[in-house]
Amino acid sequence: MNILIKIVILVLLANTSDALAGSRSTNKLFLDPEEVVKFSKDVEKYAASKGARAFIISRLGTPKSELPKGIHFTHTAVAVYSTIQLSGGKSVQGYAIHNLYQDGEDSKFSSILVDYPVDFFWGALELKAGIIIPTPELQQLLVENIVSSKHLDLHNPNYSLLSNPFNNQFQNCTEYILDVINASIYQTTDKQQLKANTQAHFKAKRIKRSLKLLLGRILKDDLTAKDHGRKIYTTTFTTIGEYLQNNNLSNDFIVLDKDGTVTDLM
Amino acid sequence: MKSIKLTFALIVLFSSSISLANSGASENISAASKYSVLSVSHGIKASGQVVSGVVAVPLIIVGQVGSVSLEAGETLMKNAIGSEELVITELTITADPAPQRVMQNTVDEK
Repeated sequence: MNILIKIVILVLLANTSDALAGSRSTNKLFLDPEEVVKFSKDVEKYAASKGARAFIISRLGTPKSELPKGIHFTHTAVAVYSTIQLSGGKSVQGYAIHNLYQDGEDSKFSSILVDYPVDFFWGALELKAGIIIPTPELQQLLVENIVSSKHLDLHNPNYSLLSNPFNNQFQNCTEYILDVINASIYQTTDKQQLKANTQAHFKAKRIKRSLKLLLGRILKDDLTAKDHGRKIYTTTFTTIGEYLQNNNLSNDFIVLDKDGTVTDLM
Repeated sequence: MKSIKLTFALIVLFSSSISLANSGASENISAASKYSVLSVSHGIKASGQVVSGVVAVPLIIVGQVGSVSLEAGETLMKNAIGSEELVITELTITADPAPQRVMQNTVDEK
């Protein structure tokens, strides 16, 4: 191939790859830090006002114009109301967020890490939060799952940006949260059983194959379609919200904006 | 000529892919931690409200995990988790970076 074309592809894909950014914990800041702090606290207070002991939280880390159609957020995790011990020894109440984050050294792998709302929204491109508050009964099961560390048994460190939720080959942040939810519902960490249940009851988001996706797969280590068939399906914040809604397992399914506007997705 | 046309087509095709990810208010902090940025921010610094969280323990009101009978569990769940508003600290809590990153930042700063 002409060297000039190769260079153009590499340069343009360097930007395109940001559009397919996965789940990373980052120090890179795009917004005013005080606004991030205020918004993070607003999200906590919203969930607290609903009495949420555990809720699903999502952020936007990529320009919305770059996202595939139907995808509104790029990273999803579960927030749990906790007693937080501070470095000075004092303890306070707030939400701790349990995330699947890609490893900084090798994006093909991931780890489960706990952070807090300001960390979660630090690298966001827009101050907008996706929030799903499960029913009290499911909240309780989620909390028990995490207290017993069963959520760690559900982690597959082999990361793929568009992992297939119907098998165990790879896992991204949103699929991980779905697995934690289902493990809580079905009271099992048997991955085969969980995937069978997912296949039977969960409707994933179809991502259409495109030239951009094909070229992204050539250059991005964390983007593969090996775990998919002819069609690509992945988990999203919206598909999780719809899944819980359709099974009468959620009370709130909303988007909270930085000006306090709540958009109901139910 | 064919190569130039193809190159131009690719530029047009991917022109919408140019990410805004590099046009933020603050570029890669590199050695400076998030905590440092928060600490020097005028409004946040003035309030003295930035702290590091060491460990977070989920609050669970019901008895020991696995030890609650179904009947008792239903009653306890209704009492434990409802819609009553929860207390949230006004402090800004942030997690420290992983030890490897902290050590690397220490080495870089030296």
